[in-house]
Amino acid sequence: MAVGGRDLATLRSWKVPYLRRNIGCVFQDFKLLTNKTAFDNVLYALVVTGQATGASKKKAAEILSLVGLGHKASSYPNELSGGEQQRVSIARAFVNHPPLLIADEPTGNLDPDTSMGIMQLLYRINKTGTTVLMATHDREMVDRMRRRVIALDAGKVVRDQKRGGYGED
Amino acid sequence: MGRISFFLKEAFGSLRRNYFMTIAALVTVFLSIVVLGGVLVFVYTTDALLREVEQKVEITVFLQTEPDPTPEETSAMQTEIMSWPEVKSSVFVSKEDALERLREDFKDNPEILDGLSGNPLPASFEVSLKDPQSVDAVAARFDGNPIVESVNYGKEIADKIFSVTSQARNFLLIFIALLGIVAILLISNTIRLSIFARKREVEIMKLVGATNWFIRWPFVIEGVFVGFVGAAAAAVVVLVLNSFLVGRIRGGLPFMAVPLDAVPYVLVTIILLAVGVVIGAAGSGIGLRRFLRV
Repeated sequence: MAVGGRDLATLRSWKVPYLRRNIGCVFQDFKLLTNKTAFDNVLYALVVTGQATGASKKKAAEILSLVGLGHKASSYPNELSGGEQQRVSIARAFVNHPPLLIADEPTGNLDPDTSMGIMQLLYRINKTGTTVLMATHDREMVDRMRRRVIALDAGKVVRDQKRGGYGED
Repeated sequence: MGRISFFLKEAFGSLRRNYFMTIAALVTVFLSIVVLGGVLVFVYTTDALLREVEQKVEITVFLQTEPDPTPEETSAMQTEIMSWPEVKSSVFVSKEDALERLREDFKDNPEILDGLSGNPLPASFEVSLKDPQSVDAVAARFDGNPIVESVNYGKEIADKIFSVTSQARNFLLIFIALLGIVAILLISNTIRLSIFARKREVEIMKLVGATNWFIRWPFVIEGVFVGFVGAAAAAVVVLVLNSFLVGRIRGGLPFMAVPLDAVPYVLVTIILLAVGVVIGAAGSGIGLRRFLRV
């Protein structure tokens, strides 16, 4: 299996962090650093890559506004709602402008309305040219987006459809 | 804000946030190093005492009496003895000095010496050595010397002293090694506990694309800080306690010269600090390894 032109089976372990920087990751349980503010969580993804912090602070603030959380930049994750936490985690995943963004059930822990907001955010990110790969069990969401759908069963691809819905055959 | 100041901020931030773990680690380091330092001080003091005992080993060379050696011969011999590298000092005791000493020993009943006609006592050299272990070799050099009557250095007593002191030294070394291992295990275990509490944090950092060393540095800085502060406090306690105790022992046992300056304060402080810092840093760095495989 290859990601971004690199074969994962032969990839040296010390190179993994550099590959991860080219892939934004969004998780079902957000995976935010609980001891850092929303702003510092986003900033961390930039500092990790060794970017000059003057510019990256500006960048982190911008991206937080973009996901609609500019006013909650100094809040800690436990002071944010689920939807807001997921927005922070999307901001963190996208702040490096990766070519690929992987979202593992990003709406799994959220109510339908909040989920919709998250999906719109991912849609906008997709519009900037970033490939968004999302794993989900959310039938309604898949049917509404009408994007390319790849169905897996027991680890095997059973369907790959250009403008698919959920559970179609 | 450079990389180093970012790491420092991360390290001290989490030391403050996880203050309970910080205190637990500090106390562990402090106690382990106090014990280690106490033993170190004990070893130094004991070693100084052992050396004092060893210094008592001395060679007495009795010279011929019939005829007595001439002053030229004895002074030539004195020069020769002093030229040997093992020799610390050599004192010539003339026949007259020997008699004087005997009189001194028997001054309560001098009539015992009244029967003496002339001076039957031999002159002698009292030779003390830099390294007492070389006593056999030095004593052997007097064999066959025409003006030497006999050589006396209490061979059995010397051998016994050396076997006891070397055994004591081995025992102390093993003791120190064991305690060092206990300290290392105790400290690294405490550090591992504090890292375990932050397992999730480390996992997230890796998922965001941090390299292992990027995550490790703040932990290593934390370990160095805890090790340094704990060891510094321990060193102060150990050295203050040492001078207090040595003072008490000196007061209680005036006949036994306990060397207060036997403990090289600077060296012991450096050793304890180094042990604290190295164990702290290594404990964090190595303890983290398990959680870095994400």
